[in-house]
Amino acid sequence: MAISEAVETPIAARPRSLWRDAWTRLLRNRAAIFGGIIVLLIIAGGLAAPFITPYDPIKQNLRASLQPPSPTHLLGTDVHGRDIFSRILYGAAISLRIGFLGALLGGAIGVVLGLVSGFYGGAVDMIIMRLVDIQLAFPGLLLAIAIIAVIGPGLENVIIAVGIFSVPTFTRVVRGSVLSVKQQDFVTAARTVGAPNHRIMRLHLFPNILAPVLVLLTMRIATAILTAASLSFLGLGAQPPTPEWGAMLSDGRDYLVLAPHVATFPGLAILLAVLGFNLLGDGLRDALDPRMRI
Amino acid sequence: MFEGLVGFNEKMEMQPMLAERWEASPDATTFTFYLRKGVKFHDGTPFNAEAVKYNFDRVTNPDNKLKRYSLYRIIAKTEVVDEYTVKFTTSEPFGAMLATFAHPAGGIVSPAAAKQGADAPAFGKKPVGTGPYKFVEWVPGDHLTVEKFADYWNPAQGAKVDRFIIKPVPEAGTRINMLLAGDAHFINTVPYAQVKQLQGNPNVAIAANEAIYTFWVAMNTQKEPFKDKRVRQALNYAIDKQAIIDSVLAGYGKLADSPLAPRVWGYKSVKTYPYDLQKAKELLAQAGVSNVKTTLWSSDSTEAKQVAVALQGQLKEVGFDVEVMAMEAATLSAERFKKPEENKSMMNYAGWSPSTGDADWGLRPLLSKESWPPTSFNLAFWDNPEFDAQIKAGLQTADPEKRKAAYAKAQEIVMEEAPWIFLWVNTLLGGISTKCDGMVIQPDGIAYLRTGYFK
Repeated sequence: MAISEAVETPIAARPRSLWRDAWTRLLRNRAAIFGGIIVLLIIAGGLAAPFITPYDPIKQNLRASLQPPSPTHLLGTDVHGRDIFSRILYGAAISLRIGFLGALLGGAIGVVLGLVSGFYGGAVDMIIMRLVDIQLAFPGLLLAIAIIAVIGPGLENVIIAVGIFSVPTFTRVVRGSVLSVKQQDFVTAARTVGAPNHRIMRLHLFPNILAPVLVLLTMRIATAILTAASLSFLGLGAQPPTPEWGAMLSDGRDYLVLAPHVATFPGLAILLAVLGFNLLGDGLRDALDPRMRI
Repeated sequence: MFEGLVGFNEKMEMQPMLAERWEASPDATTFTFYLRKGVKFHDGTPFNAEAVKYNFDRVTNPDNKLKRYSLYRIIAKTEVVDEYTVKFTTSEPFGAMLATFAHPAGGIVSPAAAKQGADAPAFGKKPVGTGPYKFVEWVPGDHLTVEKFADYWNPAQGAKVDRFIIKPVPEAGTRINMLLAGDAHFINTVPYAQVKQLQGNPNVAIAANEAIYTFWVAMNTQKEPFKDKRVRQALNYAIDKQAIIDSVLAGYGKLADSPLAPRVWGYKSVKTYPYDLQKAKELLAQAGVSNVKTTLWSSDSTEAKQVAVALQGQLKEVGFDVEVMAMEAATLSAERFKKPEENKSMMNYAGWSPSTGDADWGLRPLLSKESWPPTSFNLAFWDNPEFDAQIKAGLQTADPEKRKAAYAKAQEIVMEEAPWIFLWVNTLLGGISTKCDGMVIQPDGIAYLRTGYFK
């Protein structure tokens, strides 16, 4: 192998793929690596929760109510005597699920709308973009609350609410990218050989807007986690006894002075998760954005 | 500001106020009050039998649409016997009448002032009574100011401070900080979660008072699996009430051994269901009930949610998969008061304080057949003719001994039949500056400030 490479390289340096290039840049970005590690840890924690947590996250022990952190309860217990460490790990799985599914749902709808809007232009574009503007005019959380009010509280519905409220951001970004990509020669070429519209969108436009979508997706996961936590904090998301971070934070509100650990650790978990995804997203943007190459 | 013919002290015991003494006919249909002489309203109007008659004619006239019409509509006729004697006749025997006069809504207002502001709102914003403090101003949402009434009829118990400024502060943390900072001398309701903040502070003390509230979970006895008495009893055994008191209520409560709290007139200590998982499981097995999915409704206050979650966790141990539905007050009330056919209630966590301090108001609205929603608060949809008969017997007479006997029997039936999971009687917590004394929260939750003074 070593030999063949040594032979090959000088003759024709293989054009390095854009993705590989981006990956190298990403690895050089310390903040992004830090974010990535946090994200990996949270994912690992969430997945491994059932195997590594010392306690059942919903098992109560009222006789051990509000205990401060100790070797038996690493992060202490809440008012119902439940182990906060176990609840946070289980909560990671819940928050990640909402984050990923919510962002993916928003992304899927947004990408389709953006592709259609940008590709066809005209009246279609006009209608879609005005709808998007209307939705953007609502403050995000308020919109999510309104959606929950209509479809009812619960984790599944939070995913839907978070998804819907992510749609306009994706639509705009995708439409913008499509507008620039569709001017390029390979699109014109595809059109010339008679490729149908759906094929152009699917095979020529979509792969070329993937980079910004990926960046946005990462960022939106952070927003989705935060929004879901806010909804649960307000009692509209996860229902008891689900160990959701926002709900746990809300439980700890009344004990801020007396037992600060009840609110602090779920709060830190939310902070870390959001920070992790944002740093990773920033890093991805820097790595994928061609303008940064200069 | 106001006083009734009779009133309660801070232990919920009945006391003479504007009436010096009273008599009831044995059949509990006529009630005669002998009024105190020399009492004046804040506006100088003399207090007499005419004033009393005016007050009760006013509240019992449905056209006036007063809030407490339902409480007093039982009064058919109010007669002035002489200047200081007044006689009430009820439309049917009503043994709990005296307590109804002691209800905070039984405060006597000045007829002159009430007539002046013929439209109720004007009077409502500038009330005139006979109490030791008189109205100064009310800025809705901000404050209410009252000041010492110099001509109060009972100087010994008159105002000891010049004025009270009462502010509504909905956020508990803010109230506590106001007390700690010395901005307030008394605060009503310290949440159990925050009570430790007051403990150990030399400048403030906790004003604790045992309530007449009882807390319970009503089970819909018209629906499976709660039709079976054994299931209802089993759930009573399945709940470790003391553990919830010690954690969620920070220890401020005691086990309910009757549907009534000890300070309610007519209370009898019947029994408690000890925490006994084994027994609970046996009873459920006998009833052939396992793996139940059901719902528990509660309000969305912090405390109610914490209790509901604790109940949820404990019911899981006996195979009840309970979904907690914590609802905002208006929604909850709307759902609870739906007609029986449409009512989706299964288990309901609630509490009740009979503000007349009498057994009748602690039992009838909650457990008698006539009180099924939407009429009143029988959330268990309990229908027990034996119990209803005792409640009726308690109202047929004004003889305290006979009434007590009837209510004792009624309480025994309730405890045995267990339409509720009986939880606790709580202790109400206020906070008071150590500079002052004499202020408490009454057992019905209302702040009792008139005896307050600076040390």
